Amino acid sequence: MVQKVLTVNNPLGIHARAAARLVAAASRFQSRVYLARPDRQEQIDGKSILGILMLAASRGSRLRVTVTGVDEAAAMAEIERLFANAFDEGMEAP
Amino acid sequence: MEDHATQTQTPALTVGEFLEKNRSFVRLDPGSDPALLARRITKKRLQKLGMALAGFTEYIQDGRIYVFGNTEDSYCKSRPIDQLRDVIAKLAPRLNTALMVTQGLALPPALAEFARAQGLPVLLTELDSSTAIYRFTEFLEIELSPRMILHGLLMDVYGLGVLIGGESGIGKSECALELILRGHRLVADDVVDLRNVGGKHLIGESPPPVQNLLELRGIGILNVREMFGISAVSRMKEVIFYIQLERWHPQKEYDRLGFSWQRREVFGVELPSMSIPVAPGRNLSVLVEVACRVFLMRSSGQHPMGDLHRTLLDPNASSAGTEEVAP
Repeated sequence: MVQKVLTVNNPLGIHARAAARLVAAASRFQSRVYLARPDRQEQIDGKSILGILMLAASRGSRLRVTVTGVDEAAAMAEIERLFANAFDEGMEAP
Repeated sequence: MEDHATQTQTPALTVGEFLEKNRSFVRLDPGSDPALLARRITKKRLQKLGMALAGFTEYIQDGRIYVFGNTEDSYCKSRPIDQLRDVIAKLAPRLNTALMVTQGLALPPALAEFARAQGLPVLLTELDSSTAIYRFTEFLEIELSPRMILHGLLMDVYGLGVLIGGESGIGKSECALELILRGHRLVADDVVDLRNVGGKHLIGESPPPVQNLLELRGIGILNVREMFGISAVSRMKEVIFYIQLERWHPQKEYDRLGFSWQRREVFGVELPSMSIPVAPGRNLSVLVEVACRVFLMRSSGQHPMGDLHRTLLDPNASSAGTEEVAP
């Protein structure tokens, strides 16, 4: 199991498109991915777009990401990259 | 149970939320400071102030709503004001959440002054004490039960609350859509908010932001209520049956006879359950629907495998339609 607290740093927070990218990234791996607000216990399945939208993570909010499974390190690296690149915003067509 | 099923913090409700959700029955006394609405209710049972007014204040607890009714009113009226002041001085540090005054009574001036000085919110209701205690205790019993978020699908199938679990990508949402098209109702897809009420009942609903929504890969997010109407959704449902969808493993043995239930514990409540393997050519929604019919039949004592078993064991019994020999 790997766990990290990541900060949402794109201007719109995790809106629909960003959530879709996060789900797509998580779904490429076999590992289970969970997200949670650091102050809350409840965890959301990182492969569920509705779950992620429910987190309503705005800019600057922090999320605890937990990945467990055979490819957990690679999955965490990819998720970290997405957070760091503001969910590849700016690379999308307007 | 599952590692991703985690419980939230100690449940609490603010006095403001309590009033908002019960606004047809109870209101804040105009003399109470609205800032007091932030006080947190953590105890489910309302209690009468009762003996505390006679000076026995030991069991007055944080987080509880205390009730001031006819008994308390008559008692206060029968006591000299000094004695009441002494008791109130003892009450002060303990009574800190809310005081509910029933039957449209007015607080005795000494107590009203105490409430103002202590910053104790006073709630007014026209209900009599026993009705108020029953109604609001039942309300708090549900509101303050432990909650958790579970990844899964909750459907109302033939009126049964069926929780459907399985890893992501197994086809839960597609199954939900087909069940909706067959006339069943969606409660929550993907994110199910569960409460354990009294360790016995599991009540599920959808968290408000994603209520009525269904996500289908390749199509996107649908609003089921807008698309299929009010009868395609249900706001809240008690879970009484669990179905696990899983990939077909050639090595795993599945139930072929239907003799007995598997049991599965979900958030502290044990539910009858079935595991349904998913494989090409198996129509999930039909299987779920039939599993629910089987559940309803077994619940009423009907059991096809039992009948078959008896027929096989009894050499005199033969196929249906055989004439009975008169004695």
